[in-house]
Amino acid sequence: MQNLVTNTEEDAKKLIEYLRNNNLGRASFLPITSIKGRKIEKINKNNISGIVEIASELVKTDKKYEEIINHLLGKTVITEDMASAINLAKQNRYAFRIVTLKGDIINSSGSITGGSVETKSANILGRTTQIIILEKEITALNNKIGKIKKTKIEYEISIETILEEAMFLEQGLQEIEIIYATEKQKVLSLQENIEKIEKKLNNLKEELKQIEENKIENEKNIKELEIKIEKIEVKTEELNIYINEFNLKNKDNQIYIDNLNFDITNLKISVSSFDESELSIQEILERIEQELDNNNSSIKIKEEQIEKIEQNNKSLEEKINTLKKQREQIKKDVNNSGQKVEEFKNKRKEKNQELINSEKEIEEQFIKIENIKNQISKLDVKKAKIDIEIEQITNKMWEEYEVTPNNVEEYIKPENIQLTTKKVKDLRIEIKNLGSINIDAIEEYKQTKERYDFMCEQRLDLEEATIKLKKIIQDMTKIMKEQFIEKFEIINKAFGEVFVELFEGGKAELKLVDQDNILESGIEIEIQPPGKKLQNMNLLSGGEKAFTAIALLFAILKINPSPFCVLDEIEAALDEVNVYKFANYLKHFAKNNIQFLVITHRKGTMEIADTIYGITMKENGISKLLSMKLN
Amino acid sequence: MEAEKEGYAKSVKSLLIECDKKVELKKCIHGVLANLISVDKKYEIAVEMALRICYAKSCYKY
Repeated sequence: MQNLVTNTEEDAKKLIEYLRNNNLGRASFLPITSIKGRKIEKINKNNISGIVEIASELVKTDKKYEEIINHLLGKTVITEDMASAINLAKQNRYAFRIVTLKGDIINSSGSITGGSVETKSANILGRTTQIIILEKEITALNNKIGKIKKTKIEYEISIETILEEAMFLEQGLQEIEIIYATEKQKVLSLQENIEKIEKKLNNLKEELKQIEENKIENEKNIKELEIKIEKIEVKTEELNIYINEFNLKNKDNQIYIDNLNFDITNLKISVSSFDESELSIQEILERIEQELDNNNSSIKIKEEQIEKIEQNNKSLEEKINTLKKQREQIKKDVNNSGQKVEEFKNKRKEKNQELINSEKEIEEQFIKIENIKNQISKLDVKKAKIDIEIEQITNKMWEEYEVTPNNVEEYIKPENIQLTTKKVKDLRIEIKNLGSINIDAIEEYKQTKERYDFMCEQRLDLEEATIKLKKIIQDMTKIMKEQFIEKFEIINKAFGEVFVELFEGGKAELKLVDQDNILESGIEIEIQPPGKKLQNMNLLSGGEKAFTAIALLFAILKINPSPFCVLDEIEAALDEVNVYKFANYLKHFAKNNIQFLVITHRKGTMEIADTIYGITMKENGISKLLSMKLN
Repeated sequence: MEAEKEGYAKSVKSLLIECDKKVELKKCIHGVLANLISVDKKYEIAVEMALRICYAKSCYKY
């Protein structure tokens, strides 16, 4: 499975060298040139069902690897299940390895391996085939993605068309709005028309009244004309009577003329008879003739008068005729005016109908108007309410926040009003919980704030100071360490020397218990007196301990000699020999301008002193001093 | 998984990773046997098991 295929054995060798050199572990190699595989030639099937094939036949691979495959799988047969595998193995006397499809194996040795297979982690072989399948899937998915992108583009195009349609629809909406406005105007114009019609109706009513008045007048006229006609008839009758009278008169005149003519004849007879009296008669005659002329002229005038009268008569007749005609015409007119009246009546009816219709319309319009008025009143009530609310809110705003509606625009409008109101409520509750207002709080706050600031400043100062002090301490400890180490070394050295001098041999050393924490570490003294092993000071005898301590004391004194030194019974624990050693050393030391005041009761020490002061207490509480100068 | 050389023995894995870096080593190796062959899905488990046994044996041999 994990075998590595190489060209030649040389290659395999190289790779194994590499593995060994780099300590990478082991691997097995299959050189193409060296491996020769063998295949099973014959399988004793003997009617056993479920045999699939020799394993090498099932593997597809390049021709150059065939030998390797034969080598590995040529002697392996694959069966459907365990039963057929066992049968096959028995039949062929375990001549080859048999593997079932579930991965159970019957080896040629007869051993059987099997169980569950960890498919996920171990299946390397499946991985390559899976890779191929997955690559195919990837290309299929890529194709799908391409298709989806295409459809996406199509959808985008369709979205654009829909947007265009929406634009059209909006335009249509605008047009409809325009139409709506024009229709509204039309309604208004119709209302105006109604008003005009009402005016017209009123005019017509007035006309009707006038016509009725005209009619009455006409009727009056007719009556007057009839009266006139009657008068004219009376006049004509009178004129006729007058004419008759004239005719009678005329007859009288002719009779008169006849009479006159008779007279003339009589006179002519008288003339003849009265020739004598002719002159006179002639005179008379002339007179008569004159009279005759006068009469004739008067006749003529009368005739003329008659003619005139006749003419007058004629003209009057004509007048009568014309008047008659006029009467007829007036009658006709009266008839016509009756028709007209009827027509007007009809018209009036129509107009009345129209009027009723218009009234109805007006009523409807009134109802509409009333409805609108109701709505308006409702709206007014609403408006008033809203106004009151607005006023209340503005008042509230001014009282609570000292903000006018104009200023509000400066503030940010809350996104969620419910949340904000809840917040406001919470804040109110918090304010309530804060308790009653303390007026002195502001002053107190100022004082406290001042104090707080002052304290803060001081704190800062202190902090700075601590930092500085810490730094100083650090520096100091550093210096102390250095100095300590330096001095320690010197003291150690001096201690060793002094020890050797005092003990006349041996070895002594000072040691720090904790090298890392020098300043706080304890100091241990390791000494090796002459003839003894190296040991801790605690293991020494009391005298040795004291003597070692003295050695250390002298070592310190040697390095840093002080002018005056008090030693209080430091050699009390020493034995006689060591006391003398100490005394000698002390004497030797005193030469270095150090004055020693030694309190002691050891004689050896007393011997080397320059001056001795003895202190005794004879009586309780009273000391007595006794001084003695030696040398 | 394949690129990380997961599932191979430590030695094979490191060798393959090294081969990806060095050309002269890559020349020597054709590849892991599993990558050079393909089997029907049906026979995958059987063939893999058969090859595993061979591998164990060959390891023992060398």
